[in-house]
Amino acid sequence: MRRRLFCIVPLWFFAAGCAPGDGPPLVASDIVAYAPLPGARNAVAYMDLNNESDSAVTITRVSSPDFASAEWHETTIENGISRMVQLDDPVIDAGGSLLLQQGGKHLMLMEPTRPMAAGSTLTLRIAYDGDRLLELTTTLKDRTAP
Amino acid sequence: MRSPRFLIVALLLAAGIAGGAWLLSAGLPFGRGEPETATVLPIPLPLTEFTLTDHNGDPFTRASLQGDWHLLFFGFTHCPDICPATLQQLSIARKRLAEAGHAPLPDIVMVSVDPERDTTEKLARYVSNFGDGIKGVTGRYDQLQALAKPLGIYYEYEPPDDDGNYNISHSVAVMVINPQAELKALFSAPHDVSAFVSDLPLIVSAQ
Repeated sequence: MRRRLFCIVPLWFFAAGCAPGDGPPLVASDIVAYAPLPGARNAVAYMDLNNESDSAVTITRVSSPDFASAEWHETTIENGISRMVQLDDPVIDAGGSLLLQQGGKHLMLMEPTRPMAAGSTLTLRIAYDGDRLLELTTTLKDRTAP
Repeated sequence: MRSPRFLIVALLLAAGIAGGAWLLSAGLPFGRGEPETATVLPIPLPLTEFTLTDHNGDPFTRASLQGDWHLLFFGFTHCPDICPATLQQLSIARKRLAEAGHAPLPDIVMVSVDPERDTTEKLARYVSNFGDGIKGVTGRYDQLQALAKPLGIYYEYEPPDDDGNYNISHSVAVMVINPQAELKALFSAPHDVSAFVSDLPLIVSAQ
């Protein structure tokens, strides 16, 4: 009897997690955030944001209680020159994704509201589709670590 | 009667000699390759005279680059993405070269094009995070231009936002400066640790 319970619970959990349409539309994976370097007031976060629904998701705001402001930015390199531009809040197509990665689109976090260093917990709040909220927490990494 | 071990050694030696002879006859590089990523200048470009200040408050001039290899790049500490990533990549590459026993090791110099915000103290705290052999330098705008312009380095200050924050568009090439204070080679972005690790010893040994 005890063995049967052990089998049923994981199966139920797995099925609930994988059923299409059951979970939230916006899911983040591969989250990496680097702590501000001493002397700097900015941190940066990278991730893969996936829209797992069958309709477009409109992000309306990104914020963090740990930083005064959070903005979508993109680094572009053209003719050997790096430029950074602020982006509007993104729209992610149905089934699409938004990849935030080093040297590309990223979340720029400015002016920490409390001491933030490698090992600190970062909370990010991504509001979308009016009243929906994706809250993420991750541990800040050390940019200088290999 | 020779032992089997002798025969194996003899065969290996013969194979080695034959292989070496084939490489020489085919004109292929023998034991040393060419840099695959870096662009090496056929004639090194001497740097012009300039005067900046390093993160210790000491003068940093053309003479400061003489005697050692240096990796020079331009950036600023408020840059959240490409500058710390480049510094991290260079630092990791330097560590890997040290672990592999390569010498001489190049020193790394970040030239801040943001003297307004990057004070000596701020630069010192910033570069100290990335390990040994890293220097931060900056200077007045005209002093920065004296180094940047002859090297073809471009930077432009973007308009500030409502909070006074501004970004700086800038060249992201990593420049390899030889011990004669000449531009010997450069790495164009996007940068890659393995490219630094594989190409730098070739550039140094070809000097």
